[in-house]
Amino acid sequence: MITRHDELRELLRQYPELEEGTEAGVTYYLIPGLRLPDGCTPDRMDALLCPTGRDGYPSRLFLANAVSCRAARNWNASNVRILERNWFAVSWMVRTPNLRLAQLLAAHLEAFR
Amino acid sequence: MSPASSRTADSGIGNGATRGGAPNQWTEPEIGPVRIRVSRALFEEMKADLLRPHPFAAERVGFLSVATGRGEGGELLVLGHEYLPVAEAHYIEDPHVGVKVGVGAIRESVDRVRLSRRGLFHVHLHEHRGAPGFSSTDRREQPRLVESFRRVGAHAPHGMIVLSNDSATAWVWLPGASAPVRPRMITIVGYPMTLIASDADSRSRVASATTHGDRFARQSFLGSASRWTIERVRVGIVGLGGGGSHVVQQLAHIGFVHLRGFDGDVVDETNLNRLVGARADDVARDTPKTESARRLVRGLLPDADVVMHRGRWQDAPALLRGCDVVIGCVDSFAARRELEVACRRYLIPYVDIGMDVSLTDGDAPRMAGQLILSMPGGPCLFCLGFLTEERLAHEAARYGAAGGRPQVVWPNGVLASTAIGVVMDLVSGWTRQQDKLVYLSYDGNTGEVKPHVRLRYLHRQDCPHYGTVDLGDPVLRRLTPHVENRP
Repeated sequence: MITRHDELRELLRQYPELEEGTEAGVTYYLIPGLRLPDGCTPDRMDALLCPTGRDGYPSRLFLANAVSCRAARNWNASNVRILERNWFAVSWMVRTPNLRLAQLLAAHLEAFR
Repeated sequence: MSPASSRTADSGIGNGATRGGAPNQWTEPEIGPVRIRVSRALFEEMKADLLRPHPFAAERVGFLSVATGRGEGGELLVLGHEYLPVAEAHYIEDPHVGVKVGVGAIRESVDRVRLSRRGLFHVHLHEHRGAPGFSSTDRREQPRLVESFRRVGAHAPHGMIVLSNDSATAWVWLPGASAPVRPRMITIVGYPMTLIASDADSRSRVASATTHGDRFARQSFLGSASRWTIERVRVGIVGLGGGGSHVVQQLAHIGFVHLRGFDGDVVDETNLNRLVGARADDVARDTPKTESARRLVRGLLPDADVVMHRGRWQDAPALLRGCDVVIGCVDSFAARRELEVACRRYLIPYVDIGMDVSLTDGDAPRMAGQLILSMPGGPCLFCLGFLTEERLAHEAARYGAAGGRPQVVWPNGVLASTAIGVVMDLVSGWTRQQDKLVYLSYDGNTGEVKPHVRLRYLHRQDCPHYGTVDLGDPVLRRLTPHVENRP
């Protein structure tokens, strides 16, 4: 059985700068300078992964700014205040259940391909 | 009880010798850019512990762990986080001093600073009413203890607080500063609030109350200190449209001189049916709503300290954090959530108002609104059932499709006036109600404002959503393969 610790360890291997914060009972993972998929400008951006439900989405990935990418996306969250920073997110629903954190992050990054 | 009885002679901190160039006994410090906020519940918890008779010591002592944040103009916000009483085993019997605690208590407190990375304040109590002061023994001994906190936690503010039954005095050592300062304000955050300004004494309160001629004579029933308080409370108004413009106008009439407003919009034609203070020519001139609000205030209070941010509060968060009370007049559930999160973080009472008109084919339009006081530590908008994940999800799903919703002037006036009534009771305590929960519903069709039915089904007075862990600037935890293996 994969535990949350295993998931974090897996994510840490990819993102050694990983940080964790909570707000209003929700846990978020901050990934400084997350490498975005090819075609994104800029190609790196601080990101905040919310692995639990928020705003009607089962999980969300917030970026420190809106980025341009190959496909036009619906940035329906802009300047959302979380952990005293402003964040942006595209409307992107990851419905697959039971993804590990690293898989969840990868699924959200599909929005920018 | 002797006010000179608090002593930590067995603390290993020293017994009167000068250390590190610090004076042997500090004199009254200057006022510095610091505001201290402590919830009423935490203040009462400290008092309850410190007032307990001790088998042999003349008084008790404890420690207050604090979170921090940055407010307006770089002011440091020191936010009471947790009270740490000194365990019985650490008190040492010594007939020569009022209280003596052992080195174990000091070691525990220093460890606390090192591990928590939070600031720590020595706390004791003088059992009387009114402003307490530090005794000569306090001024000599407690700074030595604070110095030991500063050595292991140089990044955080540390200090000493003396409470009375209804007031407090503090000295704060800011990070990197060699001398302490007195905070500009200590606020006991509750219903009602208690504001304690370092520049306050009874003479200034009386002088303040008599320098306005007859302007405020008709509101003197609010209490002899109310004028003084009103002139010092910093009120934030988020959203300066239909509701917020009423709020600003009434605050100015009452005499609130420290106002902070936030709105990014300009006055347009569709606002003129309800925007108090707006003029027809504002539409052609694209007058920002912040300017319309400023003009409204300055017309009544030419010298008022008015700061209007033309934009979102999220782009000027320090301005919001510095407020003592925030009134939210925003349109969306998501905006309310963000405001409440910020206000909880920095221990600011948040008053939320809003109204809506529902249009259904065949039926009369339904006009309804609400007023909620979200008091840090008390039930939040989620506890009260006003915010739900379903509502937030539904709102997010129809993002951008809201269109021009019906808005008229009179319900805004009702809700704004009711909000001002709540703020006035909060800052003056004129109704003498304590720890009041406020969730009012407004039925615009019948004209009724009454306690919301959900209050009847509220089974807990605390809030499980916002814990003290969220106080102050966020502290993100760097994860490593080792530290993540926590229970």
